Amino acid sequence: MFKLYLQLGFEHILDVAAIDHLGFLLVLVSSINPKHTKKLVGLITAFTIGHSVSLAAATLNWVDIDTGIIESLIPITILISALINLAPTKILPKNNRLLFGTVIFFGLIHGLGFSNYLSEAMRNSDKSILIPLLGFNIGVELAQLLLVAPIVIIGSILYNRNEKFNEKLWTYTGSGIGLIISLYIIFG
Amino acid sequence: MKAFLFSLCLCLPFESSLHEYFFSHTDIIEKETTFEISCNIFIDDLENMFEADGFKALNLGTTKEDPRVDSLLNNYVKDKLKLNINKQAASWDWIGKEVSEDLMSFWIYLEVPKKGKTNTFSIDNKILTESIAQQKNIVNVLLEDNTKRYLLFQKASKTKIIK
Repeated sequence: MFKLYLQLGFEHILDVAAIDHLGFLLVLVSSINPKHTKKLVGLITAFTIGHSVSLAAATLNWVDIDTGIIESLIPITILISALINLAPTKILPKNNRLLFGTVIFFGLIHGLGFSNYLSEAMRNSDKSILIPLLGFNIGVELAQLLLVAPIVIIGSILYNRNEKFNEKLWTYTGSGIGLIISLYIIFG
Repeated sequence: MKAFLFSLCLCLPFESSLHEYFFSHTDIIEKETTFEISCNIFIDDLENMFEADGFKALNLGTTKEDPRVDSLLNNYVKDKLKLNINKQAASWDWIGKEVSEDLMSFWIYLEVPKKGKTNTFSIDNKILTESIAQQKNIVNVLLEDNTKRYLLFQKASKTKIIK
């Protein structure tokens, strides 16, 4: 059972339909110089903590929120994050606590989105919730790492190879793509 | 900026951005003389599939349901859910169907009479995978010797051998 839900979590993130999660990760990664590994790992962990908590809470029926609202909020989190990155004056990054808080909060929203999918996958199943939950979460994490790793590696190579490649270009490229993805989800 | 974000939130098409997920669930439990099969499939997905096949207005799961539905469903499931027990294609008896509590899906009940001890067991599940690209079919198998499997079938999946 663990393996089945691990596979479902993994494939859910790699599916084209889950492009919103890739979009958010892209914006998140692009907001930081890829050489600052510690901060990068910290932020991705914050996002993970956020979505793990809300996924667990929703799956265990501690919270019950309209799925339609959640699905609409997810692209908004990407849009807001991308706009913050693209803003001419830095709004957030100066204040680390606020940055991490925002990422955790947005993670919570994304986790509720996962829970819609997981609850469909567990539909009518009266068996243990914990094993599917754990398997699904780890599957999601593995797939996210698989997606983020090449982005960070490409970023690091570009920084080392090309003097013209600077933090601004990195941020604008990643956030720009993230912005397009979010607008596509909202209006497309 | 704030005004822009606010107006964006207001004009969001809340309903149309809903994800749709496609799952079916099948439990197969081996008892002393039979295999009990219960199969949960979304009604609207079945209706769309039958409609594409030329069966219009079947009114699945309603009081006006077309009398052909049970036999259509039985034939469909027979075609898509394949059990092979002791190297023989298994045939089953149609026990019945009911609408799930939330009215979204059917529970279909089938029974395979056993012929002696189960030495080999394999299964294939193509329910809706040909009409819906994202369809995922989850199958739980519990055999008498306590063999337990949770299986996932999707478009490209092949027959899975349990025993």
